[in-house]
Amino acid sequence: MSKPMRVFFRKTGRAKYISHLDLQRTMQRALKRATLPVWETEGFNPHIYLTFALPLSLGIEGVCESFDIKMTGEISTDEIRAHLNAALTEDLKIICVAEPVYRHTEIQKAEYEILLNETDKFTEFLNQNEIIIKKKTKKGEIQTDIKPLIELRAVEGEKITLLLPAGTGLNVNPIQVISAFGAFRGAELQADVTRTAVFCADGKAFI
Amino acid sequence: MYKEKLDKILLNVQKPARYIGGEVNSVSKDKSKVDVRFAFCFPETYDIGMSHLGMKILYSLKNNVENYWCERVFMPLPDMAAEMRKNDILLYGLESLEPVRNFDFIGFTLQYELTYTNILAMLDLAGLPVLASARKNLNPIVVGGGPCACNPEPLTDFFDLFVMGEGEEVNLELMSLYETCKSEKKSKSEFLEKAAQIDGIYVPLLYNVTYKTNNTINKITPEKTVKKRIVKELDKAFTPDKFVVPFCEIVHDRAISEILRGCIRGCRFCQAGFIYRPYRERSEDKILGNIKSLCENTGYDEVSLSSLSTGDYGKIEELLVRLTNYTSSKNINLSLPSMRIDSFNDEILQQVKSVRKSGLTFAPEAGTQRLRDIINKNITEEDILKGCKIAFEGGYTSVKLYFMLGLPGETDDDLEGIKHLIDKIIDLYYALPNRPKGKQISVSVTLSTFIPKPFTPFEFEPQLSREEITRRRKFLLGILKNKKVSISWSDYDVSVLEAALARGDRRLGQVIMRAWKSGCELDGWEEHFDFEKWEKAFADCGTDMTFYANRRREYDEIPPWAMLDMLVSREFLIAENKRAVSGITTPSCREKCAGCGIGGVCNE
Repeated sequence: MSKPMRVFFRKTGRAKYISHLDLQRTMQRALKRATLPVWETEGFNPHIYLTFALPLSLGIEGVCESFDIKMTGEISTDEIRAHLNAALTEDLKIICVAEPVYRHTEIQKAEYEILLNETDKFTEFLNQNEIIIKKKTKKGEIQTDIKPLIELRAVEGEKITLLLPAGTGLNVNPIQVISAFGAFRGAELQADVTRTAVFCADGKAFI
Repeated sequence: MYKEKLDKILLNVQKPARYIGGEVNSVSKDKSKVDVRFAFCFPETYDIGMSHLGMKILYSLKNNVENYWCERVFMPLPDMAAEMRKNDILLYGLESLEPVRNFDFIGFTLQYELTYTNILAMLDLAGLPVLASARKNLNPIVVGGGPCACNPEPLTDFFDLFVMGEGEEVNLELMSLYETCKSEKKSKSEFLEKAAQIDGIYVPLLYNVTYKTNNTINKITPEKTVKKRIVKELDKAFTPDKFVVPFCEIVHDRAISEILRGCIRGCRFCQAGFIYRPYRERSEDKILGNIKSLCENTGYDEVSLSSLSTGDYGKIEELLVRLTNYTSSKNINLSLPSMRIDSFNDEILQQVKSVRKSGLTFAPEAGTQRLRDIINKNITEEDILKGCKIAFEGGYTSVKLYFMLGLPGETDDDLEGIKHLIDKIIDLYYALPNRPKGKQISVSVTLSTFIPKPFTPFEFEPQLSREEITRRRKFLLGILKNKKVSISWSDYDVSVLEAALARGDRRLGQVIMRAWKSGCELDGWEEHFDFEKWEKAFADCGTDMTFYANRRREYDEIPPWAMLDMLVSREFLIAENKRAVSGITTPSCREKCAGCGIGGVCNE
């Protein structure tokens, strides 16, 4: 008998430099330190089973990140949160724990807040006929027009809020948007990016 | 604090997590309540340095004192170093992200001769003069310790003092003295004079060395020697119950527990075997308790035992049974490095196998009994074949074997002996009725070059010339042609430089300086090592590596490290050298005391 649980956490400050693979190991170790009744795989090399909803690129902060685990014993969601937080660092903190509602495959979009040293002409940038970015794939470099994929939520002073496709299908990395904007402006931009929300196909927040 | 500046550059460098700190169990303190700040520098990259147990011990030891704060510092790779210079970021501590130039101590652990230029690079990145004489203030005091500190002479230009032997007690004594001197506004030279009164502290400035016309040492004054410090009872020595857990992968990402210190064997080439004497064991209870708390506090799923020879632990089988009872119940993998082939048996193999199968490595070092007797590697061919048989019957199909080229007294017969030994191992495998079915055996052979080191019976011996080592290697490769055998070897350039620095004197300071100035850094990395620059640095200073590496030293020659006392007597080393020449072995300390001079503190 094992009960799935979804753990929501934030990854901020120094923790934004932890790569996705490293984060996975970091969380496995935190779960071990927290001595929670978590299900481990039963193969030749047993390890704590956990799956992340949506990997976060290196250098981006996140305040609504999540991973799923399976609990093998009775323990309250508050206890899971408290034990895990005691085993984590300041920059990696559990916000809440709950039974999952949506499946990972239902994720479609993510919202990003971008603090830029230069936001001037951002709307002009978005109003171009096309925004071509180069993507490296196994077959070489391909060019994609990401203009139809970018939804601008707001520009307030130095802060830009974007909604971008995310999930198992289409994905656009906000860093790519910023570097395209940088190229458009002919300037090297300094950006602090935070993923602030993840949405499902029905438009509701991924929980 | 450099957080903001670092945010601008870290995404431009490889594996940024190693430059930002903030890991689980890293220690942050309120600096207004801290009196002594210590930058513990490992002159290699994070990935290597973070694997090192000594650093973890001293890090926790110092941070356990409320008003001391010890931070970690590693050598940045060229991409990061370039970004730091471009953006005016000085070398900083990973905990506070503040420049170490303002700290009270900058301590380097000296693990390997080829990290010496990294020390200069790090001091320079810190915005400090690399020469000790140019650093006039009380802070920072630049200190060195670790195995290479047993001959720190090539580094005396850059350091203020060295710690001899085990750092557990002496580090805190030194910091406490500094705390007093700082509050009394003492000068650097006043502090250094007082520091020299502490047992185990060597202040090179207080010693004068003169040379003969043949370039050997004429006299070292004063004659007073500095004795290395040891912890008498290992059970009472400070042991950390938690490690900083890195975010990114490092070389050995696991819990490590030290089970014994020193070695009873006395292999004549092995520096660790002499400078870490006396032999001391930690009790089973302490080891088990330590491993439990480490695993609980780190979440590691692998633990390794640290020692010079794991199989020598008195009750090794009982210990392993107790450890595996715990580790297997927690899905933790136990690994046993440093196993001598003669202490390898069925029971140990079962314990290792019960969790996960890892590779097996044995070090016969030499191919014939004659040469193994000369180097006092007290194992027989029978031991080797027995160890391999147990391994093969236990399901292993590959073994890794270490041999050394250029050992004193080595002849071509000994090289042929390596071939015969490998042939016998392969024949043994195929003769076993219960060998793993349908699988080939693979033997990997690693050839290193003998490097004479201070405080060993072979400190008098020359390293062989490049031509001779190359000839012997070619000869061996020629007779070792077998698809089941893969061979790798160390680069002579690296070995000869290591040999020169290991037994070097004070005059090598200017060579190291020149080499670094001409661009030598990260010499331990094949892609960065530039031998020609080193050769030129030696030549520009009017010397060469052969004087230090390839020359036989007479028993009455004063070694550069004569002011240092590693507790093993020089008479003993000379006697052992003579026994080597006659091919006479010396039994292990457990069988019979060899009278090495360590006396009193040794309970073997």
